[in-house]
Amino acid sequence: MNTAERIAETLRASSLAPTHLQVFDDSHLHAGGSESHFRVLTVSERFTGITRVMRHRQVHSILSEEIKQIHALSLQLYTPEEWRTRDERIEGATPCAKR
Amino acid sequence: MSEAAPDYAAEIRRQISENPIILYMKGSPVQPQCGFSMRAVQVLGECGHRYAYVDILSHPQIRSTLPSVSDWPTFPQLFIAGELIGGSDIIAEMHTAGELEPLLASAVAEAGAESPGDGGDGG
Repeated sequence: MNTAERIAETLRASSLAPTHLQVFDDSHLHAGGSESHFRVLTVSERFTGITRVMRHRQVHSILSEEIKQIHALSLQLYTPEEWRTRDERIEGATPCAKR
Repeated sequence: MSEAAPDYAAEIRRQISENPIILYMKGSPVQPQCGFSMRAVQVLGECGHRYAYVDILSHPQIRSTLPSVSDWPTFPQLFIAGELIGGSDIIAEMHTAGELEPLLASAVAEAGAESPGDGGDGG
């Protein structure tokens, strides 16, 4: 199982119970090497009514082991309501500063 | 011996409380050393308020201490008016939603009202 699959499995099995989940391996955009940079796009009822910081902390806590192994984790976290009404444009990956 | 050891957590809390806007980042605003720090700097630049920053690459003790102080594992980290706002994802989200600039403006205005003595810094 690669890191992206492991991140996805951990989140799926967690109390987050995501209704939508995508994990992207953005490592090719960075100098950090393979299996280093990941991006999670997920939708959960658990995000309703809490601040952005608390949403991120929930995911940080669930993925605490994975975070230790990787260089960067970008999170796009939505409630079902936000996901339904979101902009069509989904923000892409952040490339490395190094050119 | 513990008296002589610098208390980095206290130093961080002091930085956060003394600066209405402070960004802990990799590199400097002129030369960010990471795409996520670069994104944060770009957004703050668009908002146009002066802010303090700490380059965590040149301050390894701050880098290792901050995550436990802020309960946030990654960099950059933005604090406004003493509160953790988040990392580059949240900074970008709030900017897109039009929520960031008003928050920055009110933090700067409040700090200015509290410390009229150093008005030269108020921009």
